[in-house]
Amino acid sequence: MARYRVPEVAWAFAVGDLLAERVAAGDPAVVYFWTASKTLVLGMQDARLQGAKRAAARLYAEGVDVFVRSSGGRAVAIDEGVLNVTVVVPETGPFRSMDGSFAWMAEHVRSALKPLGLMVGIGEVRGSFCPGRYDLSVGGKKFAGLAQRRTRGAVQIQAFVLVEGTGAARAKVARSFYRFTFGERPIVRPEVMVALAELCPIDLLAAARIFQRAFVRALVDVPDGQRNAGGPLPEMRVRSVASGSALDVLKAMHLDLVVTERLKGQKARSAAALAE
Amino acid sequence: MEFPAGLKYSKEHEWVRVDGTKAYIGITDFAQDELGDIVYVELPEVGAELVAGESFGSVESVKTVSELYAPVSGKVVEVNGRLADEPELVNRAPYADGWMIVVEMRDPAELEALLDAEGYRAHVAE
Repeated sequence: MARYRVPEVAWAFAVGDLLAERVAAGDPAVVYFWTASKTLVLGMQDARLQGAKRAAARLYAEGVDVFVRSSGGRAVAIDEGVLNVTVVVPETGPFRSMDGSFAWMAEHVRSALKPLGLMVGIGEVRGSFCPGRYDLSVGGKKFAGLAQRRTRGAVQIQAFVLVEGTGAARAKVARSFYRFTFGERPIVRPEVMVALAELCPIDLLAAARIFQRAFVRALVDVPDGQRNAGGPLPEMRVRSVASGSALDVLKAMHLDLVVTERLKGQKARSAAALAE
Repeated sequence: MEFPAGLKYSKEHEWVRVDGTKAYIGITDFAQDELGDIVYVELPEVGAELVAGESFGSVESVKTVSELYAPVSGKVVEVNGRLADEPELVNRAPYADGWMIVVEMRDPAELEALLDAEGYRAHVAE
């Protein structure tokens, strides 16, 4: 039986849950950036596919970590060139509904990229990995997707943004997982995925700066047009944390001990989901 | 929107039907409507100990995973196995075939902290 390392993404999701608890208790909203080494982050439905465990073991043998996340959607292939943005907000204003939360996030990703000359579309890109109504695309090719995790009093809205490298290379990782599984599963077409660096000169740090500026501003000053789902948004304090490693973020926030317990939960959940 | 009388409700949108010392638990019509099409339900195993107010599982719908919170404490004695292959039962019949777990209650007095149908109706109207 294959033995798995603890993927770095387990930390990232554990941090997200901890931040959500704190935001629900009245802490400021958080914009949290993270990256991880090559990992296929499965949705819960993927883990239930027949042959999922064998498929995960094959990817693992090829140097790809596999992790089952606790937010919505299907398999997402990430690596050091993918910027993950998690916005952690109280369940209020536009964030009271799932649709309102997705629409808010998608709109702010779109407007953040406008200065780069990118005309971003919002809507499902068929054949992309982890498809959904709020896929973000340029010229019909998807570069980012959204998911949510809702816990009592707080919402985590997660975006993966393909920044460096190519979209097709990541799509092939997701496709190879599905090829090793059986049953009804998504069809992934590498030609409909793209990375921002294929469209304009940009790197991970530049992208993080753009989104940090955009989301912090958006959370402090929610425009009137967004105040539609549940009345006005209460005044929100915002902080943002950016780092290449979830562990660095935790250490900076003196939370590394607290989150260790959450990490155990994340590991157990992922392992149980892939058990046959 | 249905709010059957005779059930107890939590502010986190779970319902409880009491049968002696057992509590049948599911999510409300309001909750399933808010969630949209449910594609996956994650539930505890029989024998798991639940604590009122803590998470006991999750549901996935429209690229969103929402946590479920136990309305009462106790041991899980039955799990609705049909939901593994037919999660849509929660949308179709949240108070009937879409039930989720049965708990042997540790402290039935916890029920007093829950809402009745009218109280829950007022809560979701807020």
